Amino acid sequence: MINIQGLSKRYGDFEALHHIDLQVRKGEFLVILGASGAGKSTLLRCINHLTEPTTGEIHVDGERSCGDRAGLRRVRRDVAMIFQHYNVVPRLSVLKNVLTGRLSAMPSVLSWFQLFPRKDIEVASECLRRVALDQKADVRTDTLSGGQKQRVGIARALAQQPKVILADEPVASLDPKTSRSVLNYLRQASRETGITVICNLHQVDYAREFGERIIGVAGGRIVFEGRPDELTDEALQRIYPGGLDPHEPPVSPPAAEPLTASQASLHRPAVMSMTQQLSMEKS
Amino acid sequence: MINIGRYNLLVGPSAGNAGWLKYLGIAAAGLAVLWWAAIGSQVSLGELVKGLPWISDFLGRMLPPNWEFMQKLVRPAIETVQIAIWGTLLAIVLAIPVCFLAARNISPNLVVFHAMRQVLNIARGINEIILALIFVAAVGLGPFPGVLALALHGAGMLGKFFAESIEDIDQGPIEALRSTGAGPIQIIIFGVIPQVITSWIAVVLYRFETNLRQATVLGMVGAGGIGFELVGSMKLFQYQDTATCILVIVLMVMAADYISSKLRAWVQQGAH
Repeated sequence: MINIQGLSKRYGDFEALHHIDLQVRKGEFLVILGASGAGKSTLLRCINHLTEPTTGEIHVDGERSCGDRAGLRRVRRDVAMIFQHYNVVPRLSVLKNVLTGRLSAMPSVLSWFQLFPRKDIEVASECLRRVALDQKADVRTDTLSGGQKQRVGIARALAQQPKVILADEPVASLDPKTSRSVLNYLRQASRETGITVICNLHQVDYAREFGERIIGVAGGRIVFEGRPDELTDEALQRIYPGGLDPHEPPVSPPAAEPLTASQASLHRPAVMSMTQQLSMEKS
Repeated sequence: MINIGRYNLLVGPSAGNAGWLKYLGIAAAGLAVLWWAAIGSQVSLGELVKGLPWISDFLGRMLPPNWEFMQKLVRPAIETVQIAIWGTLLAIVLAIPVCFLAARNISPNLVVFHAMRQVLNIARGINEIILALIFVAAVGLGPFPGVLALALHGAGMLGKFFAESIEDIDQGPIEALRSTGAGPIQIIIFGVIPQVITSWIAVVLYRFETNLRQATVLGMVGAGGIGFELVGSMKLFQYQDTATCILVIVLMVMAADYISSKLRAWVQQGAH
């Protein structure tokens, strides 16, 4: 479904992505795991050209995606995106937010006057049912909770009827229970519709739980590739290089005087499993 | 930082005491500017005290207001409102296409952006009364040149405020819409407008208030409205009529303020 070859991205002297090769099968739920700044976001954003790659080729469903006007419209219709901060339009109704996923497929001029084809409204309603928000269709989106907003984000992506959904840290701003529920909706939608999902995560336990395959990224390179059960502690060391050894105190400048009891309690307990620590990290 | 007993005056860095000298310098410079401006504008408490008897004499002649004159003011007052309505509407129509080009984050390129900013600055930079003088010369006496003057000046002001509220929006939804493949006008309608509409309406209502105030004085240069009666009564030394005019103007401005604040509140809770 997606074939990436020799993808690199430079920002001035900084190389965010270094010669990435990656194949993703149709209908696969792929998790990209890595620390903040490892290049996960840049990788996703290159696929739908929100960021323009410096070198390399990206093929989506056999077709080379490119950054010119026609190419952008084509690749963005086939590739939907879900964002960490939901990026729903606050003052629009839930249904209209989902309908914006259909904008590129409907007559432009009519949409300016809020005139939507009935079949597009039906598609949007169906997508809202998939994330169990059909009761909220006419509610203003800024009245929803974070988890509900992200489900609107998922419905909007589904409404695009894309071949691929890119999810950029979709649960990084949510609590664990809501995170699981949101990821469940995403996985279920992917299974039922056969849409390929590429999902950036930094929480190892979610990656193990939801990923059919996991790619580990560090320093702009792919450092791990395999099934969730192949993700050993040794592999995690490669994905999170140097950092987060559970037996060493957190790196901080030497304190001039001893910490008081209340200050010390703000620090994490010194002994903690690596997985736990990693899942606490927020990007 | 300055130690004052058990308290620390925290200006500048929280340790050491070098920081506050800078603020002392700024304060001294500020005082110097105020002093310089006072000399130039002849601000003088003495002159004001000397003028007080004259002011009270003038006020005495205005009282009581001539209530009979009120009925002659009904038509000009209505005309003033009509001028303000069309002045505001035309200002919006002129401002909207320009504001997207004058917003840094939406504008197609920097040349267009700077050019449109300058267009707005020029429109806003010329006072309504001066614009009215020009339009009176161009289209003749009456309320219409007043409408045109308010429209042009208002477009400059609205365009600037519209553009600035566009620059303040959350870019996330815009990026999301872009990633769905929506076109530029669709992005504006579904991503930009919903985020700015309430602040736009608040600015438009404020502009309507301002236009109403300005429309009351446009009459001074022959551009219609209640200002014409105000200036006329002063020229004829009918200060009691003047008092009635001022009273009506104050009432109109208060009514406009009340109505626009109610409307703003309604819009902010309002529907999608």
